[in-house]
Amino acid sequence: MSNIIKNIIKLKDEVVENISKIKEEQQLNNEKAKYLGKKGIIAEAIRMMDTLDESGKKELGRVSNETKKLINVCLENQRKLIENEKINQKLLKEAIDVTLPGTKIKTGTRHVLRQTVDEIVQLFSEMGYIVAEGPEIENEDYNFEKLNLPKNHPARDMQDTFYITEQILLRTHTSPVQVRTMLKNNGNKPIKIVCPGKVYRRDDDDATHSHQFMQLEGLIVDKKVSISDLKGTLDEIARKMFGEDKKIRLRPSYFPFTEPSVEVDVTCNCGGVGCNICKQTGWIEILGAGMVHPNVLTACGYDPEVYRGFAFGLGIERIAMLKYGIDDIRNFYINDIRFLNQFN
Amino acid sequence: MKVSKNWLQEFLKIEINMKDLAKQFSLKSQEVSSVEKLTDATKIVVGKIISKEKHPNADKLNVCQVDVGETLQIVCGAKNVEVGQKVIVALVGAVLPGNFKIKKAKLRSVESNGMICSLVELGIDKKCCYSEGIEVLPDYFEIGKNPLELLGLIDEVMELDLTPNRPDLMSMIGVAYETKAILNIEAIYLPEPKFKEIKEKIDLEIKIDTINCSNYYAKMIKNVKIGESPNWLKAKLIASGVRPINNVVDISNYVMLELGQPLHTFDYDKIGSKEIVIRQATEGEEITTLDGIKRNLLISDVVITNGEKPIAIAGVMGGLTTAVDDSTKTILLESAMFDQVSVRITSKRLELRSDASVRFEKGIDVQITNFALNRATQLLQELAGGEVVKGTEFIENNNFSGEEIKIDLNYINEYIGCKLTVEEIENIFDLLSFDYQTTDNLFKVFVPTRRRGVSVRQDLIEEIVRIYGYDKVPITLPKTQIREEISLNTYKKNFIGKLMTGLGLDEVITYSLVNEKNIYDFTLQKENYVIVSKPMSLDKAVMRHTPLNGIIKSIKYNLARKNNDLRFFEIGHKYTEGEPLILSGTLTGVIDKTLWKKTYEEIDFYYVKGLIETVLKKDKKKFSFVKPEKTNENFHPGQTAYIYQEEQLVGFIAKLHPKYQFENSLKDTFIFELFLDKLFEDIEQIKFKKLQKYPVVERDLAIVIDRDIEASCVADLIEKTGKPLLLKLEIFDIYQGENIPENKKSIAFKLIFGDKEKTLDSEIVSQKIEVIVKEIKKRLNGKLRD
Repeated sequence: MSNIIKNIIKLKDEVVENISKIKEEQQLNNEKAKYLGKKGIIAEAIRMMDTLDESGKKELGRVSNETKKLINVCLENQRKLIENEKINQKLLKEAIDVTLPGTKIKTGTRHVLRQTVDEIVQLFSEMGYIVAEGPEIENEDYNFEKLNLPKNHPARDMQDTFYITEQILLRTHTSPVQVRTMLKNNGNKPIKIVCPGKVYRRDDDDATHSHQFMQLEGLIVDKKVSISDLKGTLDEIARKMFGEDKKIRLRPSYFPFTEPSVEVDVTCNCGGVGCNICKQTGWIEILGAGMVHPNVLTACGYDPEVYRGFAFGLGIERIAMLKYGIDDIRNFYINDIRFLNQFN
Repeated sequence: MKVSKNWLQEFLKIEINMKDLAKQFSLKSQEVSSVEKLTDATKIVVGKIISKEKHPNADKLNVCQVDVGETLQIVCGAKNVEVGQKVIVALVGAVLPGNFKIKKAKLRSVESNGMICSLVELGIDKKCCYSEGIEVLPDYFEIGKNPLELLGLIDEVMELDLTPNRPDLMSMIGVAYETKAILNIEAIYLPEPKFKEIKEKIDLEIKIDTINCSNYYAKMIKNVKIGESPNWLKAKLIASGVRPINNVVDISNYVMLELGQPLHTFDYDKIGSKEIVIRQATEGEEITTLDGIKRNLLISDVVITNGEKPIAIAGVMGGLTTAVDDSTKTILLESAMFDQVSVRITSKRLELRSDASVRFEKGIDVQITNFALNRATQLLQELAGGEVVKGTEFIENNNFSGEEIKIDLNYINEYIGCKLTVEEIENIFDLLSFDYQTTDNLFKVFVPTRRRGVSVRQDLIEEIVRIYGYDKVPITLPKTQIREEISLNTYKKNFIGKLMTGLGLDEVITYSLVNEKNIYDFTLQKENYVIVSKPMSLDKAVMRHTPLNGIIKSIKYNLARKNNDLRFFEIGHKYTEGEPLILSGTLTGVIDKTLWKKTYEEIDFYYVKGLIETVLKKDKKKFSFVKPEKTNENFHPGQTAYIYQEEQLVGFIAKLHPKYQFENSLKDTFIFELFLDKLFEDIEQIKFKKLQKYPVVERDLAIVIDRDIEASCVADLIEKTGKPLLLKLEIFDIYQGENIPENKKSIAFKLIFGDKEKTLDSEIVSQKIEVIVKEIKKRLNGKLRD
């Protein structure tokens, strides 16, 4: 066998080892040129072909082709290896401690009272009620007189009032919104509203009293409304607010603007065993309600012989306190961010 | 109202269980605040003091030998202990209220085998006990017996929380009627009072000179012997929370508790005349009341006079000069009806709320007045040995006999939503002891005068439904349907609230009442404000003009607790005419600080402006931010912007003045406000705009301009000139310093041009830029930066 062929065969062994040692892509290119380039070893050998006989030529052709293929395969493999290595290096370099805390992206929190109002309003909206609102600085007429609470009525003691003048006051309940809505409707349209809002009473602020608090009232006025409708509505709301397993009970009470009047209790989470929250009774008082007093209907332009209605009112703070186990009403108005953000 | 079981039981035919009664009361009548034993002391006996010696080692203690069946040595500290007394002894092993266990003990090395007790120590309310020290028992009490039983103090008390419409329950007789109705049991009522009268006729003239007294009855009882009341009477008073004083006073209290009619007893000999005139007080008139306090009267007060001077304030309190005392012989007993409102006004003004005034205020049974007078007369004869002078002197202007209410079965069932029968309803009226006539399905109901709250059909329905039981009322839903849109204000509150929390701000709710001196702390104008009359404190005296007062207070509260990064907003009202809705907010500290990353954004003016711009985008109108020439002194004059929508002021952003921040221990603090009543008035339906189809051309443009020209001025001009090809403009650099003249600055804009119809020729863009530059030169004297 001619030396030329032998050299190439020898080259085969050399190439595999050489290429596998290469670490840089550039070097790989150099190597390719060295073997396969126009002036590369193989090209050089082929130029010498004429010096061989016919079978030598054939043999050289075969060997050099094989070698070329081999070199190409080796180069390609090595290139892939180098690329992989590069990526691996990059990955290694970019590896991070995934346990470090993420960048803080804060969303704000709606005030828990607002959330409570929204939830309740949502429930009533689904039942077809519309939100109505009214001023907080009210006429005595709307806050008391038209609600069957004439001057010097003993029940006014139940609501100690901030007066501005003799006729103007800070509303002590959201009920004047009922009055305004009825008057607006001229006594001939059904009403189905909920009225959330701030109210004020002369109470010293302590864990259970606040001179400012939020109420939500509901009112239906229509031709055929009954106590059973009121009971059904409250039952529905209590279950949606406090859980499907909850029951309500109505107890007689007194509000000048409703007759009959009731207090509404819902079963306590303790399941009736008795606990501190329900004061061992198994029931928690959640709201006051009743059938709209005929005097109120009359004062607000509705004929009590034709129209009837029911109304209910609940304290938002109380509901939120029950729902979240908050023990001091002042928390709602201090706005400690540690308090606010618990309701996010 | 405290209800004694022993007393109530006297009106009922069967033994009741107070816990059951309380439960039924709360479900069918009135709230029950407690049911408790009057005293739950155990192992208590009657003892007799055989001897008393000074304690060898303690000045204030005595060593007593007490006979309780055997002789016990007991150390006693009471001042009033004397040999021969019968006393209450708690034996070793007794448990007194408060889980106080009596043990064999050595008191300063002297053995003591029990305790001699006062009533207070047995759990009787202190205000009902008239003996300061140990209770001294009557001599006839048998040694070794249970003294509580002998005193009538083994009792249970149910306390009712009464609503204003049930004054009838401020009497035992009323509670008895109610018990009968809710337990469906039989009751026994009081027989007509009986007493003997002497021949002497009452010599008294009564005159009523006011509309505030309708009925007045008086009786005279001679030769009364003032003394202690019998134990049964005292026990009832104690159980009712009333302190026994003497037989005459106790009887009038007893009858008031029994029948609900307040009575008054005058010492007749001290009246000084033979007439009683009831009239309005005159201006400047005075009276010293039983409590020894001199009261100045007003024309609105009603007084009982002897024809000349006031001797009592009607329905509120008697006068000192005619008070019954130990030497009283002749009593003038008064039972009257005074006007509810009048008594209420007077007692409220004088801050004199007595058991009597409270009953007058709520309203008493007009038909009980004379009955009560006779009942008290009977007791005075029986218990104080009095001789009843013949006749009753009275004036009766009100002889109301009760409401008649007609109500139809259908109406009842429709109103309640149930299907009661005539018989069921009649049964309820029977339970309530209401008389009625039934004609077909129509009831005519005669409401007794004791139930003065029941005056219309709805009141009657309440009576029916509560006795029937709310638990039996079916559950239905109203069919009412209305069609109305939600109000704009509700809509604004909702979407602004969601937007603000989405932007990372926390919502607060603060008080509307603020200190008058802070009213203008953060306002742009000084408008009139609303002042509360008689405020509870200076800090809650006027209605705020901005929630910022409260928000800043909350910020300070949080800073004091090392919560430094705060972004608060409140949607609330400004309490001026119309109570306009406003959005207020305060930001301080840094945003989303991730400590280990060491990069974070400090809140600055532009951050706040960015927030506001995001909110205002919803309005679709164009807003301008203008630096005011003069502003609130608490605002930083260089970092305040008023926000205008055309000519209308719609809000502001301000950094608080460094001086204000320093004085209030605040760090850099930014406040903002949007007047929501002037914004988002018509939120339009969003209309889709076609996306830019052809490629856009981007050009940068740096303009050198006088330093005091505001960026918005240049931007507006470019925008105006660049239209319609200029699609977007953004400032990307502000520079002043090297290569720029002293009083100039460079503003660099990124401009994006595009044509909706075709690919834009870059030549056209260049021409447009030239026009813009020319315009800037002409109008603002600016030029391209080299």
